[in-house]
Amino acid sequence: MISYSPSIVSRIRTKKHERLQIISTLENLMQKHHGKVFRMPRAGEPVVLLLSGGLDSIVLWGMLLKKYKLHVYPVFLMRGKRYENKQEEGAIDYYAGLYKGLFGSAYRPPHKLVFNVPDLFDPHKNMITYLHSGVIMRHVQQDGTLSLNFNFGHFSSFLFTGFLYTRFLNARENLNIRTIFSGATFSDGAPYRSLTAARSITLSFRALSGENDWQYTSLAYEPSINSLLTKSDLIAWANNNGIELDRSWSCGHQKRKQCGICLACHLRQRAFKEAGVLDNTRYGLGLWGLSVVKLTELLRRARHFGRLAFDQLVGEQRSVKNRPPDSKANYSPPSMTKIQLKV
Amino acid sequence: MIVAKNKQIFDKNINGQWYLLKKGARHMHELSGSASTMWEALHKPISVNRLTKIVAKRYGVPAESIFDDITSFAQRLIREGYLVIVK
Repeated sequence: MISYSPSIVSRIRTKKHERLQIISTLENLMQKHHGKVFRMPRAGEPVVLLLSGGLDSIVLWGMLLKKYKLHVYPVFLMRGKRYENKQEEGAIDYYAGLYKGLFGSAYRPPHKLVFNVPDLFDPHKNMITYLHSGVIMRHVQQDGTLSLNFNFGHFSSFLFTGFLYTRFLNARENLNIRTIFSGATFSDGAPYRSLTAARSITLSFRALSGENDWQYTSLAYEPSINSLLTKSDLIAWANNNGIELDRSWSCGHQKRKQCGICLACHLRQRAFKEAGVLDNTRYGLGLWGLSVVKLTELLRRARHFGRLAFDQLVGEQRSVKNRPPDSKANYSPPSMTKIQLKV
Repeated sequence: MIVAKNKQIFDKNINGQWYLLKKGARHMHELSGSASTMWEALHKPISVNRLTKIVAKRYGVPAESIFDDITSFAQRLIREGYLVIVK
């Protein structure tokens, strides 16, 4: 890899989806044939930012404007089921207003594109018949309802929509944009948000256009500028720069309030905690009004009292064979109830 | 009779309750009563006698008094395809 410090390389090495050899090969190729891998645009240069409305991309938008003083052209892809719900769009509108006030002339309004590929189960009422049973079981709820949400048209289309948007800006405003930023952070786990993916997409853009100055990266995950930022780093930065994040949207469930229970909400709550910043987000349910983080802590404490149900909730089941007799549990004959699956 | 979980089925524990799903089925089954204890003991092939003893120990009841319950439920699980007879 191109002259990254050993500490950065060792941090990248810890990521599950990173392939150092691929990164190294791609970077060497681009360096040799195109003369560069990545160059941070100078202040005032126009760039495109892929905006999801989530906390990460909202903070990165602010960071590109404030810290790097770039002219950011955000593009927001309204897609599938999420398009119908508008929560992320609401977050974008709120921060667009905020940044317009804060950054004035450098601010560019987000461009909203409708990418109307519906979620998988919208047009297919009988998804149970073709979904793999393992997938069903991963997402099934106690009452037989399925909580899965395939957001088609997200990452794969997002990248190339950004690419097309630069062409649109070139035609309309004569802008020669060659840098596209994504909202990925160093703490993201998905393969399409890895450095390996970013480098291969950069190469794809260059190969597709025949223009060797294209670059696709994330400000929060670009080792050539020593930037490996996690979600909690972004929260801390926003907090230090007076950007309230309670209106950004993370939740995977599209309801009026963020649920506070799903994985995305859990990661959000944990990142606030790690950053030492008060989370003012208004969550919907939370169990008995508790956040997942608080609930998990309570359950961990309760585990010491040896209560089986709590053990199972926090994921540490003892072997049933070694379990002492439960004096409170009354024996009832084994039975089972049939539950119809509902989409 | 030694029985084991059918590898073609899928199970999930939600809040201490076990749910079973067969490949291609449009319904799942929720285990209740001592069935969850039985299911947890089935992490490897096991005889019905041994299953009975584990459940009896768990609930502090004599094994002979619940043997019929366990046997008939194991047979139902076999009929539904959730268990297979190993030996």
